[in-house]
Amino acid sequence: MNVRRTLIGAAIAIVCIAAVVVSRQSQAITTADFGSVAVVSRPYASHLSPLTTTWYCPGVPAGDDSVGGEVVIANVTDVARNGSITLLGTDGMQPITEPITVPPRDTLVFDVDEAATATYVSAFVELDGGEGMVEQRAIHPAGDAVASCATQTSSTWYFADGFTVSNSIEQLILTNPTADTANLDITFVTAERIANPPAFQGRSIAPRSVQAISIAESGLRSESVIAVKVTTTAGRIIVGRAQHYLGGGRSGFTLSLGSSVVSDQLWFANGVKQTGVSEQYVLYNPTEQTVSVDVLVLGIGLPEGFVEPEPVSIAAGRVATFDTSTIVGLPDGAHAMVFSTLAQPAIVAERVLTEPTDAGVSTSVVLGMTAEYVVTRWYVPIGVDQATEDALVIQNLDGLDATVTVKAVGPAGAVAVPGLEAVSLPSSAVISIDLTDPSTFGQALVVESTQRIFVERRLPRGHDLEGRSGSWALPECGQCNFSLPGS
Amino acid sequence: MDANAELALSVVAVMVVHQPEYSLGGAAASQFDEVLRSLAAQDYPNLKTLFLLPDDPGDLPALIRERIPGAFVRAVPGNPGFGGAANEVMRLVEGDNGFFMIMHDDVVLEPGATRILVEELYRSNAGIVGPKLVMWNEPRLLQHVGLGVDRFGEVDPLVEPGEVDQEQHDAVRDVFALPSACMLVRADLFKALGGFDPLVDFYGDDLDLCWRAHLSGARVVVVPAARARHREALATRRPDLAHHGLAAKHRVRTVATLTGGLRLPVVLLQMLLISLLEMVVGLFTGRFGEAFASFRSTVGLLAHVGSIIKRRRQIAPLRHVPYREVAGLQIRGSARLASYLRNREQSHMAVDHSAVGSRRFTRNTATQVGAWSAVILLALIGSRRFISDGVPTIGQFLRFPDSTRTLLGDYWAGWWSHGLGRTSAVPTGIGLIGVGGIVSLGNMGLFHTAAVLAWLPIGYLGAWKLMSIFPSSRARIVGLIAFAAIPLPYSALGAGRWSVVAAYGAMPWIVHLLRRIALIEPALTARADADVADASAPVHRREQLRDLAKLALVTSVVTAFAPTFGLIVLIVGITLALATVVGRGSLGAAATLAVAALISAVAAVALNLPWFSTLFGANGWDTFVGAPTVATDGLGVDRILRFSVGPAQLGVLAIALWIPVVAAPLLARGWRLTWAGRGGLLAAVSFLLAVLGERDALPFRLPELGLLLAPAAVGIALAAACAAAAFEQDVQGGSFGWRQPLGLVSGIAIFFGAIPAVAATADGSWSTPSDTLSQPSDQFAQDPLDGDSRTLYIGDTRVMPLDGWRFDDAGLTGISYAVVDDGPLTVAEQWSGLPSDAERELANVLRLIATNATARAGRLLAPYSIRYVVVPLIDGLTSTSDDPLPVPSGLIDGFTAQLDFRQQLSPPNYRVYENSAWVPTQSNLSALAADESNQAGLEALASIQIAGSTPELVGMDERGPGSGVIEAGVLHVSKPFDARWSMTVGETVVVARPAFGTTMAFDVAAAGPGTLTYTTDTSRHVGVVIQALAWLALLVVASRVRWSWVLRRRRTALVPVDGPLIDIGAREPVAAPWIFAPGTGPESLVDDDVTVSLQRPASASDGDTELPEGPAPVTGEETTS
Repeated sequence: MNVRRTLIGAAIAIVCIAAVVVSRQSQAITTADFGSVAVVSRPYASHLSPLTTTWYCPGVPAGDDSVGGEVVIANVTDVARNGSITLLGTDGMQPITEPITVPPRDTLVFDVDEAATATYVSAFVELDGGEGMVEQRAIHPAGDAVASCATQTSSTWYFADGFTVSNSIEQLILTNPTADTANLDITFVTAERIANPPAFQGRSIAPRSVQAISIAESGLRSESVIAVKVTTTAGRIIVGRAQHYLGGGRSGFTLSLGSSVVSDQLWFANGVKQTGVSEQYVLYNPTEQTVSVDVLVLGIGLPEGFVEPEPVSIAAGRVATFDTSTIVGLPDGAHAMVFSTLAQPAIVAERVLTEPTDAGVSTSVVLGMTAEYVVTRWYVPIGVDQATEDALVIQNLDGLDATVTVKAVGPAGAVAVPGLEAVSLPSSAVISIDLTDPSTFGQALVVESTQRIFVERRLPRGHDLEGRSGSWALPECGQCNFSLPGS
Repeated sequence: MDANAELALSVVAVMVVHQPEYSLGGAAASQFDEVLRSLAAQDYPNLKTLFLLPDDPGDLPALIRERIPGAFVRAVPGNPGFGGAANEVMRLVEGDNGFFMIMHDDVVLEPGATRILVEELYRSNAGIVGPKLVMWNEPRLLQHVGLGVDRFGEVDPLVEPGEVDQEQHDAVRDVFALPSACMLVRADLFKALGGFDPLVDFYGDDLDLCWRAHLSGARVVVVPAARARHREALATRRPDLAHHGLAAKHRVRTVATLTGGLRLPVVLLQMLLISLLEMVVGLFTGRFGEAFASFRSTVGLLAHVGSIIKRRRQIAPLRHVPYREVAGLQIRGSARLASYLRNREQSHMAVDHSAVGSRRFTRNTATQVGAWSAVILLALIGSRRFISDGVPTIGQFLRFPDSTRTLLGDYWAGWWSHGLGRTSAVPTGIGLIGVGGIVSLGNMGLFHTAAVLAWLPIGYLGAWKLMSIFPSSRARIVGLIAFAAIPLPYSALGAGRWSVVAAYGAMPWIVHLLRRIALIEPALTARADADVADASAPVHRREQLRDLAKLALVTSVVTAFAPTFGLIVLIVGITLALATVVGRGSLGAAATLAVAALISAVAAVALNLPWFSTLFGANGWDTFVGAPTVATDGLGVDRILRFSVGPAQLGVLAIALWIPVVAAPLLARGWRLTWAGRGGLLAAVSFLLAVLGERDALPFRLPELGLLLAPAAVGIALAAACAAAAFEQDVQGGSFGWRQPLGLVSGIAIFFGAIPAVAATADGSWSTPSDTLSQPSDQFAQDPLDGDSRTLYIGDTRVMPLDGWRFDDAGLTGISYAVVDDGPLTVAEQWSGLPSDAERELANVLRLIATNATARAGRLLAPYSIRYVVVPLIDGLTSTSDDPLPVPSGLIDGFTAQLDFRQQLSPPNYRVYENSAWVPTQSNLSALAADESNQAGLEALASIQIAGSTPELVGMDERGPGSGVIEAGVLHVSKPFDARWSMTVGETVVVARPAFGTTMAFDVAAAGPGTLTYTTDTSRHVGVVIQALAWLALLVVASRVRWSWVLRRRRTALVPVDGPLIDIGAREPVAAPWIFAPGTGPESLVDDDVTVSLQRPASASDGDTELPEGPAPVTGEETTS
């Protein structure tokens, strides 16, 4: 073989070998990513500065004079916030949009039932920037209920608890704030079965409208457990739930926002073991896999004789209940609870707390808080209007003692409430805080801690009713460890 | 002077010397020296020599006088061509009692040739005689033994190509014509005929002269006993000439002027029909150029009727013989057709003068026709639905606008309507398409189809041209078939990749022209041991420049549509240069290859200015290689090897096409090995780049795969042809070894490798997906009553139906976006360029959606009139129904979460959202929006509802002007603010102001008829004119356009400036002056063997013509010019 042939052959061979070597290199395959918007499992307060923030409220009853509601917009900053509030209602109500301005360090209370009349009216509030906070209060003769408004619409919504015993009324409030028609399917899960009533499959919700669905219409009457899954096939919506208990061991009215995601950990700060108190947790597994849920009791020193509860197994798509009365050795008093799947996010959990009152019982239902919100600062846009004991329940999530400060937001800014400047919060403990100082009345509050905490509200039910409604304060995020879609 | 000289009549050897190459020295000068020595060695006693030198003679007179001391040398002013120069003899030689021996300067006479010719002239009583011409390098091969001619003036060479001289043609015989390379003509006859036709400068001068001789009754006789070697290399010596065109033109002129009047109409009609037939056949044989030249010349007669008639009148006195007798001397039927059918056409390699010898290039025409038929059928059958239904709107096959005027108007105006619009240089491609539209007479649909599909035959033809380096018909055919079998263009057609198809079509021309510029020619050797690594041929500088201009032109045209093509050409040039160095070819050639490629790339940039200048900036590389995509698993090496860049499922057999890349270097020897290296390295480098690009293994992104693979197609074809040539020349006939089977395997590989390409023709559209992502724009109404609008495309870059801009600065998301006006997508969307500030602002809005920073993106997009948002999901190419690409995370959710968007019904391959907050492109803003339009910033936009504005000037052309009744208020125009826009309402001129920070508004005080106008800068017009002139200049340089009127003027300037140099005495007139009187003919010859023993003809015996004592020495100073 002559030199030329060798040189030419070598040149071609070298190039080809290089190509083969390069072709064997593997590279990480990725998907095009438009925006990894975090999955926000619960509403939160933010100091970020998006262009606009929209808060979607689950809806309040506004059908007659006996009921009503209000939207409370808190502005804890030093500048006024402009925006608009849009009211959407059932019964073909035309949307109503009104501009709003929230003064600095103040709250704006918008009376919904004064502006609109419909069985249910949902509001969404658009604010410039991102530092406002919006909550709603439903006013009902059976007890007022406070709920946070969501900052994102969603295509899935879950409720673990449902109750139609003794003709108790349970309604889903489906709000479509967008310009597009939403189509959805609803699945009901009772202790015995999974129901997909045809009337609730492929249901359409017109743009900028609200529909209220009575679960009893699906034939699920006298059910003590009814979990709900709402899935849209088109569009994104907000789903709230109104419960008016008329017997069966429950009483009162609740109106809460659903959970748009399933979680792997759900926390509850305000657990109570006491004579006459029923503390029940409803666990819903909407996934297609059976999950085992660990149950942890926190916030108390565990005495001798305490027996760790057994994990709860929940079949795919099914619902289960857990009653703290079954925990052997659980001492009386306050405690916190955690439900954890130790695996992929799979469950939705709600606590049904029924406490005795002079007139009978008072029931509150609260969705578990997710693990992303272990933060040190919480906001309370809707506080108290009068002196209220045990208004806030605070759980220390860390193994260190903490100091808690409660501040009221007024013209002078956030000022510590007298007597609540430095409340001691032992490590891993749960404490209650009274809001009795007049400076807290009608003001947004800020709860700050030196350790990470959860804050639950126990607000009066109004109408001179005994008992409390349950709801979470708003965690301040920025450092929240949100998960990304698909993660 | 000896006695013989006194007895013999004078013979004046008249030689027209084309001297430029002789002044170069080297082989050419040496050959001319041989010519001179042969003249000096003639044994004819009364031979005078007259050298006519057109142009600057340089030191040639000295050289000539050194060899032939008594030679007359005269410079000929201008460049009148051979005939015109030779005619000088009539002026420079006094008297007609003798002979003129007209000669080319590349003829070597045997020592007794002149004498034998004179003897035979007497013996045959002929007017013109000529010798037997043999090949310069191989004298055993015959070149010409006279010429046969048919009634159309077509020449039949009478000998077979490569025919060995075995004395089979050695009988003296009458012929119709003799080559002007060497002919002895009676001086009185020559003068009576008026010499050569002065308008026939090259080609056909001999035919015309001999034909007239026949008309006048003179015999034309070939004398095989007289022999001469002839180079016959006019094609390479005068590359500046349009050889086919000149030959056809002169032939037709001769026929028209010399054919008998009664026969002429029929003959002309027959010529026309035959030339038409030839054109059809020429499409398949690669001889279309010749056929067209013939057709053009025939038709062109109409323009020269006057001069033809005049010429016929001049010739009329010469017609002493009935035309039927002359016609009887002609070949019956068509000499061209006869030689075609007998495979007797011959072609001349440009390397006859190669230092290492020559070999005739033979053709197997039937096989060529078969091969061409096959590849053309492949293209036609595979593209039948493109042809019948039009090119589908997919990928870059976006339709052309209906109006050429629109395109050229856009180009002239300088308002580039792409995206949101801006004042910017319009892509050169728009202008080129506009010009093409004019050429197609405004049939833009037809032009669109042609512009897409024509690249296939262009590529085939380029490959055919390139393969002409192989002196084997078989190799050339194999190269053509291998090139046509490469699935790349068919796959690209299915994917709508116009740039790839164009690169495929242009690439063989690029390599061919690079080769020509580098003067690389095959070294045609007679013996294997004389083979060389590479050979070069001297080419006229002008021809080299023309090739360079052609290269730049091809590169520039393709670059106008695929901006990276210049880079590809540069890579090809460097690769060929490297291969040349590795193959131990000429370093000069290697350097020329690289430099020529660089020059063409630079020229492509220059010719695409000013558009090209707009492509540079932040992320400017996107404009060359497209917006970035996320990492994928790529196509895999097997799909790269199969050239599978589109939807067609090309079989694995296509990989077999690469086998010659390996086989050719193993089989070939000599210069074929060098070419095997060039082809192999070209294919290998292309493959490497394709893999690097697919694996994203370089710090920068490479052009799309198809473009990178285009050189591989040429490389494989070269390798395949090389293998065939090597098998034929280096392997076949040798002792049996591994090379024979390898050669066979290489050939078989081409056969099997072609199967996938053939199979891809099945559906007639190269497997183009039936559902394309251009459909959304088709479904949106154009110029609807509710106002003009725009559509935003956003999605995974890999499935975007048009070039877009990157969504994120880092280019990590794999998302891109684009904005188009309402109505169907047009080719204007092909050039995305860099986004303007307003278009970047769009990306900011989109990022707000992505980060959930607003639910009012609809309002933010409203000032840009974005009514629809299309999210492409399945394009049928990269993403299919069976294997869809994942939907970009957050994209659907992001738009669904917006409060102003509503999803429209759409097929599953894309999603459409309508922005309920949009405003028309030209609209009268609502009172609220009008107030807010004075504010800038997204915050202001997000908080107001500007929907509800009233549309105005619906359907206005993108660059205006638009007229209509304008309502009072604020007229908002959704274009980026530009002071060149102005509005006139009634008599009032309204100045534009910014609206919402980015767009334009006009505050109209009172309603009235108004006109919205864009005013173009003069600098834009100047730029366009300069650019057009640059293109035109390159076209002229690249073409063979000659300013013939200038040349004619130069010819007419040829006036005598001095008196006769030679006196050969006068002949007494007789009835037929060029017929010897009885007793003075051949029988009067004394002895054939004596050196000079000629008796003077009776008519010349009076001695009234004294031959000069001897030629007066001609000095350089005496040379006139």
